[in-house]
Amino acid sequence: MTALLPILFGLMLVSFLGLGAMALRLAARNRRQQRDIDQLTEALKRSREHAEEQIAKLTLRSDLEAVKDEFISTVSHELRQPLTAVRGALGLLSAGLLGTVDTKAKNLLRIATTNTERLIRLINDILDLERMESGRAPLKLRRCSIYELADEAVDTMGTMAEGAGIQLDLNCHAARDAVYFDADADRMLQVLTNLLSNAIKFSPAGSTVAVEIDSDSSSLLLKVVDHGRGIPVDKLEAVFDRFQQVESSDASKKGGTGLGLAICRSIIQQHGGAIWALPNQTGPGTTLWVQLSRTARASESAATEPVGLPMLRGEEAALLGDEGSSVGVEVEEQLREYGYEVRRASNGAENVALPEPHSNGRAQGGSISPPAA
Amino acid sequence: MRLILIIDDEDDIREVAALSLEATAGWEIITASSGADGIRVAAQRKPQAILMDVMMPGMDGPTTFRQMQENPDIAQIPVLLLTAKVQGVDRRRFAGLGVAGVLFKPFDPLTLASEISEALGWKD
Repeated sequence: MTALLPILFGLMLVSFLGLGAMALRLAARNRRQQRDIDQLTEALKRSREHAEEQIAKLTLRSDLEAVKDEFISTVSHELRQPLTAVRGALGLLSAGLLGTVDTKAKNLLRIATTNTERLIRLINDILDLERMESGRAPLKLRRCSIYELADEAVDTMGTMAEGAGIQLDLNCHAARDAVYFDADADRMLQVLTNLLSNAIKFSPAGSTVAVEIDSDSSSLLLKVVDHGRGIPVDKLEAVFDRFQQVESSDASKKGGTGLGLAICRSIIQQHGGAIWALPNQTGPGTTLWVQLSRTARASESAATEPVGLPMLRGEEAALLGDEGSSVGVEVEEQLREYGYEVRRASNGAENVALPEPHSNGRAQGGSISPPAA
Repeated sequence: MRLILIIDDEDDIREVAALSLEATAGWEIITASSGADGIRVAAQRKPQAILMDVMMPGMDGPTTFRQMQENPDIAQIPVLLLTAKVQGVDRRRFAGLGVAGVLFKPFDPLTLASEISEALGWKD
């Protein structure tokens, strides 16, 4: 019996030691787990703070956008009131409806009226551009014919062209049924009449302004070709910026607002297309290129690749589009003329390694200039 | 001889619009500087058309129009709104009111009369 006691004691000691060891292990594990929990809690707190910061920033930005929209809308409205009175008064005087005016006074009135009209166009353009860029003017898409739109634009600009002694030509090289695409007709018309207006303004009397239409299975290509004084190579991109003029007297002499091309670019980009300017290859003048996708966009389900400006880096250009598409071939030829090495990539985004967008940061809708020598 | 009522709180715009219609179309013009005043003058003189500003202190254009519609003496007089609010959302709101037309500021003083005639289907 007494021989059992040491054994029993031994067993108890071992179990106590075992329990003790287990307790120590548990304690250590608890401490580790507690550390993990603390670290996770800390991380969670940080990420929640970060999220709150982001939300605050976005809210602030969206509030600022709303304030900016409100401001521009209010200013545009307020400016129209006094302009109404000024335009009304000058218009009546200028037309001689309130008695004849001598030649010098008549000239002054003409200057006043012309500049009032310019002010009005400026307010309209600023408001227009702001609304488009803030997304407050969504496109109303429907199936359109680029040929019909071009025809309507040429018609609209007929009087202006005639007055300037310019001949307007419309040449459609595309098949009759290959000219359809989804567009906001009013906005596209706005672009076309603007491009024609520019071409006419900067063309010498007696010359021709031509609208050329081409298409292939996936895109439409429209060109407005003039034979005017041309745009210097270093301004080909800048003309699409706001209030950029080639010569400082252009706005007053030609009556433009300096926003026309910025508005065109905004509209074309909203359509998923691209617009750019290049000097004519032969002779003076400029060609404005507009490339648009023919794929249906009006339906929600169609996920389309925007046509996209050829992506440029240094002397290399990558062109999205199927091999052999005639529009692509034409654009490719133009680029090669300008000394670019052109790489073709299919529209599928997966296996395309495109160069970085043009260094100005605009991959779409900017313009191409010949690579730096 | 057409009689037109112009309602606008801005003196200069009232004056210029009146001169424009008188000089280009030879119409007779009466004016009012507020919606309330306009309703009174319209009931008194029964013009053949009313050209009314939208943004006015007190009763704005649309509110004045609705009140006019409730007055059997003047409800049948066609009303054209004149507005500096040219945005799509505003145009749609005005169209829903039932006015005879909407004209935008700044208007061309040489064509204001013909725009009004066209909106109202007047041949003269």
